[in-house]
Amino acid sequence: MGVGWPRNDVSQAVLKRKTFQKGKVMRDPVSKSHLWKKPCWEKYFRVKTPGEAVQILEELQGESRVIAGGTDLLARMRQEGFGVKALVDITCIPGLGEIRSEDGLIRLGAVATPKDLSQSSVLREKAFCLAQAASQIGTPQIRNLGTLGGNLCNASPAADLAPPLLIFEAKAKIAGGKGEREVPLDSFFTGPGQTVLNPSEILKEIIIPELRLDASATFLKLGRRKAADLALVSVAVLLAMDRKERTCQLIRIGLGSVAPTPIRAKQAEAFLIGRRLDDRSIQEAAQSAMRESQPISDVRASSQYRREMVGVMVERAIRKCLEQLEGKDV
Amino acid sequence: MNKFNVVGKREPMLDALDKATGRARFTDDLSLPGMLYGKILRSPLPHAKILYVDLSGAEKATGVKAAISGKDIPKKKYGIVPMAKDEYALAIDKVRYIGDEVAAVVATSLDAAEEAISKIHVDYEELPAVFDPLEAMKPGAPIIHDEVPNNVSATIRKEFGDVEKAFAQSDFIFEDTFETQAVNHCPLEPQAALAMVDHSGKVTLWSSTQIPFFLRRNLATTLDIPESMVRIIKPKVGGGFGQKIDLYAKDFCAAFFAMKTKRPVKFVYEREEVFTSTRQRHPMHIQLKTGMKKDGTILAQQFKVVADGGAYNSTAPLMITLACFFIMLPYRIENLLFEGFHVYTNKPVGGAMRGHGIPQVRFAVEAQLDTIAEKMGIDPLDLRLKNAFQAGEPHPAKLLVQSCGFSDTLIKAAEEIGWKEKRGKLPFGRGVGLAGASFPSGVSNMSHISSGAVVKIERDGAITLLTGAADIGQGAETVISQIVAEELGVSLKEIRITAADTEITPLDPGTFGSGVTLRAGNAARIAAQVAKEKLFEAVAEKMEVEARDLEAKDHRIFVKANPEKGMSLEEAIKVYQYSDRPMPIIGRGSYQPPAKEPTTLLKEDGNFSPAYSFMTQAAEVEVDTRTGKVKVLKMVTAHDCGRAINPMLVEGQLEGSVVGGMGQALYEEVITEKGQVLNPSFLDYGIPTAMEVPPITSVEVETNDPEGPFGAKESGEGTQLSPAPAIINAIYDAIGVSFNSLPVTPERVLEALQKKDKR
Ligand SMILES: Cc1cc2nc3c(=O)[nH]c(=O)nc-3n(C[C@H](O)[C@H](O)[C@H](O)COP(=O)(O)OP(=O)(O)OC[C@H]3O[C@@H](n4cnc5c(N)ncnc54)[C@H](O)[C@@H]3O)c2cc1C
Repeated sequence: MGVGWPRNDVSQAVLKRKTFQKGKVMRDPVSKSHLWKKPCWEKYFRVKTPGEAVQILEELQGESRVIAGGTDLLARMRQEGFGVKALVDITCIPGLGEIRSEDGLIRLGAVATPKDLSQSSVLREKAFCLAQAASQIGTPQIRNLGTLGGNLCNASPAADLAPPLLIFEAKAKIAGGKGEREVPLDSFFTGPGQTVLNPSEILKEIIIPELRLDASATFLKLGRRKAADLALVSVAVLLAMDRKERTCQLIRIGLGSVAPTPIRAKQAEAFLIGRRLDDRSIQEAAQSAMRESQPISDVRASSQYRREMVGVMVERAIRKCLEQLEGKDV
Repeated sequence: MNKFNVVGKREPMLDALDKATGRARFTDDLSLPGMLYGKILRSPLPHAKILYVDLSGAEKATGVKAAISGKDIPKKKYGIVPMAKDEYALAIDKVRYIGDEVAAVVATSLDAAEEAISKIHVDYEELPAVFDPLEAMKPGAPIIHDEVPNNVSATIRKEFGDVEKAFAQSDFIFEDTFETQAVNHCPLEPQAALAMVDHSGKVTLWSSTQIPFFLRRNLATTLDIPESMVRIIKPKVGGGFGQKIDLYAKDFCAAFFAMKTKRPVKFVYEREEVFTSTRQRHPMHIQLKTGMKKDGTILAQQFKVVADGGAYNSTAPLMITLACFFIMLPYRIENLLFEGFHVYTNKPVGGAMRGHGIPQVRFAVEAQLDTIAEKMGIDPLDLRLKNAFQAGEPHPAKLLVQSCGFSDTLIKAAEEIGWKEKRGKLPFGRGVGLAGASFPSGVSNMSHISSGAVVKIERDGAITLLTGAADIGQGAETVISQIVAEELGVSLKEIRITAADTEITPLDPGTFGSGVTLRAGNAARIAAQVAKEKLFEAVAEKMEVEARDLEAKDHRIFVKANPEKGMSLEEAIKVYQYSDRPMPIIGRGSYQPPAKEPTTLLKEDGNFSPAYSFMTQAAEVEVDTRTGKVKVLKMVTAHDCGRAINPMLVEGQLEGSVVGGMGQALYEEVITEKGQVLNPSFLDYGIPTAMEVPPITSVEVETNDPEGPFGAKESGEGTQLSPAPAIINAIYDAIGVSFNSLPVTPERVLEALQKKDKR
């Protein structure tokens, strides 16, 4: 679906066409559209352990793909018309879809679906904004079929689950040929569609701490419509304050759809930390987040609009967190 | 009080259960033994000569049974309007837009067909292209069809009164330019066709069409075979909105390949093809000049309308004519000049879409009325009421308007939205607006608008109904069955309907122009009456009463004045049979709307519809002044549809029109760059979802039309005209910005607000 970084392919095709001279004879000029192909693969493995998945991926270096819900992968294979030797389905690995809370940590299995996340009592209690984000993904069908791992590994700038996980400073647990490793989500994304995963690794689990009792967190998604839409801008904010002074003790701001990857607005965070939370400081933090974003223009909105909306949404998210904190006071 | 048993009831659609449970069978659900799958190769260039098409790669590919290009087909042009045919099923000499059909293949699987398509090689010579209709009209612009050197393929010029003089006498003159966008119909079911040829060579085509009988004619023409050798069957159709009145390459190719290979062939369009290569609502440039008297009388209006037709005509002459004619109501405008131009460009093709040419111009008129009202210090409602046309008034263009509840709809809609308390009085960012409109209930005196029906009373008292009407999801079959059930005094479940099969069911023009209920409903009612009279004759003889004294109700036939005296329907059928009357009991009906005046759609003045419906829509909106997002809080529709045969289905039409209007006003646009559609998917295009739909109140303005079956009038297309301008006017009230181009996206709202702040 070219999520969030869409239609580069089309504009490329248009650009290419511009360079054709008038009257020149062309054989089979390029156009991505109307040449869609059925996604194809030679083999389909339904594996039972992460190790088995890694083994197959290693054997077929680069010519196989992990498939979870397939909501991104199959659409892209069709649009781009590419095939693979094998698909490795990880959704039947026992336990890989579990959501557990232990010792103050929440462990989210990679094949948990957005529906699982949105209905999880653990998340509703201890990381509500993630459940909020999950409930706003696409359509009911997509929420039933997609997965947490797919959402992150697809590495779309518009992945709705990324900003709330970023503000929890989530860690990604990765399984590969040489064993397991943990990577902070912050450095997991390396570009649109790109992650630190090498072709034979799989994402197993995401680990986040429970939300501190004195903090609040929220997720806001601005789309053109309320459902079945990708974010123009999405914002997650986590906030804790000194109740007496109303100064900001902890602030984390995650942004989606406004840079090549989901990002933290670290300058805005740095600005706000230790400062009194009032209209001015909140607005200035929002301005700073705007400057940190580097959105693109596409058929949904211009970069200028997206940037402006970063300001508006960050401000609204901080105010919402404040309201929640004040609610807790009562 | 409803004196009827079935008519006026909120009956669920006959096929509701099948549709809800997934049992309903649409064209793509059908398959036949040995069926082949087809795929079409489309042009990647907006304008180019086709030099050479090399099919050999495709022909050699595994599973491929045949491949064709434009040079293999009969040189027969098609077009839904006979005088405007300009299209071949596959491009022959050149391609005119990205998505134009170049070649096609059939194979034993869809995968194989898709694979084969990529093995066709085409040499093109690219031609300069033109994308802006105003540019296309200029001398020296690239010529898209050789027969139309100025690219203007249809025009209309209509004038009445003395416009020049009227402008000279006006106290104020307002001139504005408006622009509307390309909108796709987005039927949930993409276009599909399945064809089969029998041993005699007869072609049977199952097609997602809204006009089977026209399709039969067009298909026969393009295949170059007699019409009698083509049978069209319409399975369930998942929405049309006008997009399924045209013949498409998929219809032609399915039939052509079935003839060639002697195997059944199926073509189904991708969603992307629905966006790029079917039809869309014409984008329009509209220059509108209005002359006003101090007291608020509209003295004169002058329109110059340029419609961006895309690469082919489709309904061009009809569209531009309708755009003109429906601007002459619902206001009294004594002096009017309308100049309309349909212009070719190298873009997706414009066609009929709910309201057909009128919503665009309606938006211009209604939006301008609100700015006029503001500048002249008149309440927009009062301004409309002052100029509202009244029943029986002589119309300057000689339309015959015998009944007109327009003022009534204005007053009622305003009341329901809370006009007095709210207009101009809500806090910044909130506002209300309204807009009016008028639409014909079918057009009289045009060719091909007769409808037929057959009603058979079976031996066990069940009723078989044959109608040509094409139910495309709006519920036509249900409504027509209700009419027959009412007429025969049986319950709805006794009716077994067979519809829209050109070989079995009688002629019907199909679903367009908001005429189905009136036309096909009347035909079915007549057929039921004829069958009933046959039965009455036998019963009257047996009971020794007059046939005209009998009535059929509650499965009985009885004496009107003495309901005790009668018999059950089953008994009546027995009586009929034992009196040696010929079985089966069949009634036939044919109906054509009466013409009260000669129709002169194109040039001269005169009437052209048996009845006109009038309506007002009102909206309340809230604008988020920081994100620019507009939320529609409430919609009110006051629409006179005569008697609602099935109020639930009328509501369905009204609700759909609100969503369509919201899409047109706020969300939807087919975005193209150098002829390439950039957002051809539901995700990127963005129609409003159920989550965006506001509470909708519909105000009853039920009347009893003398012509319609049981007094019914249209409630299909007309409802689509005023929701968009009502929303635009509510935004004007909310933030003081009047938008002249659609859609009003959050970005445009924000831009306008910032510009306003600077001033
Ligand atoms: C109509 C529609 C609407 C959508 N709306 C939204 C939306 O609102 N918000 C949003 O964020 N997304 C949206 N999406 C995108 C998508 O559905 C989600 O990103 C989804 O969570 C992807 O999960 P999946 O399991 O289907 O991924 P898949 O398609 O199975 O995989 C995606 C990619 O990740 C890789 N992968 C998957 N799991 C793993 C793993 N465990 N380890 C290593 N690699 C892995 C695959 O190889 C593939 O490259 C939408 C998609 C569609 C089609």
